[in-house]
Amino acid sequence: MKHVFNPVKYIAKTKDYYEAQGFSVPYRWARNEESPFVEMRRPLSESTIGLASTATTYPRKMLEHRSVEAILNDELPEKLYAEDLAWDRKATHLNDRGSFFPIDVLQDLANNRIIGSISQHSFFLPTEYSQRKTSQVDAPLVLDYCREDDVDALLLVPL
Amino acid sequence: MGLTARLLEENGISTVIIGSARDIVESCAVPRFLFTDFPLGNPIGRPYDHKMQETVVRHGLSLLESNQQAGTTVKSPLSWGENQTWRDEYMQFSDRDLAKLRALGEERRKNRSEFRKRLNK
Repeated sequence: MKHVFNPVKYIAKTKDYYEAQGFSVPYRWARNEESPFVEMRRPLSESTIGLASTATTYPRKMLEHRSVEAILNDELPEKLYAEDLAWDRKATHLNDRGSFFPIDVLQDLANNRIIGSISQHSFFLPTEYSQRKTSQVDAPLVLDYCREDDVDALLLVPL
Repeated sequence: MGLTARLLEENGISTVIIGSARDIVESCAVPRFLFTDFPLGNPIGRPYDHKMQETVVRHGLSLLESNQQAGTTVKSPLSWGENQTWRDEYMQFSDRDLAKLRALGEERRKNRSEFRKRLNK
């Protein structure tokens, strides 16, 4: 019989790990009971789809200032970075951007009319310690960028 | 990312998240979430496995057109593979690692404090 694994408890693991490092106040993840929801305004095959990632287009250092980037898809670098983020460096690597930033798959789907098109830009949205900065600065910027690109739906892929 | 998805949705733009940290994304409560049970870093699939990556993306996008309820998590049926040791090994430590971790924490706090001082100058 196939073994069924329970999802990894990242919140508990992170709390324990940083507690062992001597951080006394655990990080408080965003917590909501309900979610907003809006139906697609047109079929997928007619929609413009945008892509957002927590990676960056340059090797950002741990405490370097983080800000939202909108990069023209024609000018995307082949290599993307996330050295300042928490991910499983032992189990895997980021040498294939398709494993966390599926712009090439989206392009194939657009070519095959599964989706209408991909937006002009992709969006690089930093993971922030401050929920206030994400809510009040970064998220509104992404909204503006999506409106400028006439994005019907955004695919968000956190590492 | 969850907070951004929520803001977009409140403003009429549909969103779907594909991610591997189920508890973190669900805690935020997001409109649509495809959970891929893979190690953090490759939520779309194994590196260079284009077929797997395409399957995941197609599945994720299909949630945009389904009539599911807000906040419903859909789990991808795909598996990372035979080796599942990463589940236990991520951020794993024992008593023997405590001194090293404590020193790492001290260094982080020092760097943060210096960073803040520079910002306030």
